[in-house]
Amino acid sequence: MIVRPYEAHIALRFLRKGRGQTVLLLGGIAVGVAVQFFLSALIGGLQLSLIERTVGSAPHIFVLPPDNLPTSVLAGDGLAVDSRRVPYSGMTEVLSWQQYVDFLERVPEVSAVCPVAGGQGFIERGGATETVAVKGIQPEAGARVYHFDKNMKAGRTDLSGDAAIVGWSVADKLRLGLGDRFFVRNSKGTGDTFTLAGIVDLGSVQANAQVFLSLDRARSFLGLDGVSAIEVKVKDVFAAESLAATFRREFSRVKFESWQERNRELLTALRSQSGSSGVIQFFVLFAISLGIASVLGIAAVQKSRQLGILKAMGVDNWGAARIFVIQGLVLGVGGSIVGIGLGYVIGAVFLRFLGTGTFGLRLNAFNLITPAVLAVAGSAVASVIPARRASRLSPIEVIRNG
Amino acid sequence: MADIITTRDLVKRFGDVVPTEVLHGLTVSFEQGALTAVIGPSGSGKTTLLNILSLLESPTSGELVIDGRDFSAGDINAYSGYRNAHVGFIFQFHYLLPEFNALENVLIPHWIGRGRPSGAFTDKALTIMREMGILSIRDKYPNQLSGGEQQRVAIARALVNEPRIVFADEPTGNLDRESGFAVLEVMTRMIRELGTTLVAVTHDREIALRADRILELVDGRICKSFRVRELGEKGARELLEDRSCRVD
Repeated sequence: MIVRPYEAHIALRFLRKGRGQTVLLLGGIAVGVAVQFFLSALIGGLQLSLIERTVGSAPHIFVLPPDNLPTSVLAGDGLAVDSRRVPYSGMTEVLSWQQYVDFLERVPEVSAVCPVAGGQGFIERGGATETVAVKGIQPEAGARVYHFDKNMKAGRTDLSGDAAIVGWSVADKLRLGLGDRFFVRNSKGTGDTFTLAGIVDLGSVQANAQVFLSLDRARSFLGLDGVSAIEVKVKDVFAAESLAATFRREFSRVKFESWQERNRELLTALRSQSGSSGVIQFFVLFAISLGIASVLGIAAVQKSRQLGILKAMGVDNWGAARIFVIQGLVLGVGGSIVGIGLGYVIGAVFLRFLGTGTFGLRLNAFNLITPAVLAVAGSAVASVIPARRASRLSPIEVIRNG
Repeated sequence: MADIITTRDLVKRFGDVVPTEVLHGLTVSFEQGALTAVIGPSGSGKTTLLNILSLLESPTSGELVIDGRDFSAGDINAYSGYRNAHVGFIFQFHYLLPEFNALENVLIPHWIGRGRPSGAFTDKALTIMREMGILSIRDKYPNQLSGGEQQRVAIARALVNEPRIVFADEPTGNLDRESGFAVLEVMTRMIRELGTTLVAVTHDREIALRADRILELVDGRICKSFRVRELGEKGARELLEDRSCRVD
């Protein structure tokens, strides 16, 4: 749209002279944008916080043994079917795990790879017993996957010898302190004694019900030849699903599972939340657009006389229309700027006085620009109605009727 | 002097279901630089003729040539540029934009046609305002002005682009007699100074007698057309009183 100087000159003057009306319109748009911005920033923050709690200190992709592998059902001579044989075999370990680790470590999107020996166990201390997940990890890789640097509440990442790291809730229940010795029993009834080197808080009760040992200690403790899984952390948490699909095409003898596949219900809930937020935002925008269309429409009627004489003096139909489109755009841009500031203040006040303090506003470019762009577009569309009226106005009708 | 506007068999009809013909094949021309008063009773078609000549309304049929250019057919929107550059308007009501002060109103035609006025052009507008005796009210808004002042600003606005033709429809019709004559005095003086052609519709014979030529319409046809100076004021008055038609 090429704007001629007089169009902007007249549009701005119309807005300036109708100050009360302009302020009300700007206020309406600003409130609408603020609501949109606040909603999307808040819901975005909430979702980000939920995802961070779910997978922030957890692996994003799991490399697991296949559920079932096909096996031959033929008898030893290879000619007849042996009905005693089952056509598949279940596996609980990834045997040649080093090749997968080597491959995954070379993938640029991957930030950490940790082979894991996992199983169930029981911590016994005094008369108390607590069920835990025993996890053998390589200390450096494991620290990257589970963010030990950030999540370590006490002690340090030391898994040498009989050192172990315990989740915070288990340590709390058993009153374990750094340097304390405790007994871990496996499902076969045998066990070993470990020394507490660190206490971590991984964000959830389930994640904290773990005991981390060195990979080698855990393998012998659980009686594994290989590893039970390889845990992978990726740089972009939302790319995990597509990366897992890519890996699946590379390797068929192991199973790749992304965090999204393991948390379908959470993702569905988040999507529903985003959807309902989108519907609210749409109707807010719709209401704003109706308001602008109605007020500018009235302005077009009120200013018929001015438009008529302007057309007589040489303003063409498009010029008259653009005077109103410019007003719509100016209101949209102005309202958006004020609205984003207002939304930020509302969000800050909300978090300060009503929020739980566990999540923040998601202030990214998308949340910032989207309501602004939508409001500007809505304002421009809303101005089309008065613009059409202005363009169709006959100067002679105005002059004839006064 | 050459003719600046020429019409041939100009017809204007309104309404589709029951058509009403307002102008019945007018053939008339207007001399460049002359002041022509168009008079006639209500409903005679004088305002319709003015609207067609000023390119605000299209004729139903017939020929309209202005300054050598044919404007007989077409959408009036297409003539916006020509109107801005070459035509000035003065209406019975001033139609000043209330959002702009007096000087800004005078500068509006320049804004429309050529963008932001330069300092030199603004000086020119101020000179016109000075000559019209409205320089002191340059910063006032239309609602702060008297009727006479408002109409003077409207006249300055019509003249600021130095148009080839000015069309005026009852330019003093909204003013008391004293203010009306004062405004008329200023308007005719300025128009003569600039050498602009004026076509003015009026029902006031005293005003018409100040023109170079009088054109009387009756029922959409030319009834009288004569030059005031050739007849002298007395002869012109007598002719206006005469009910019979006469076309020179």
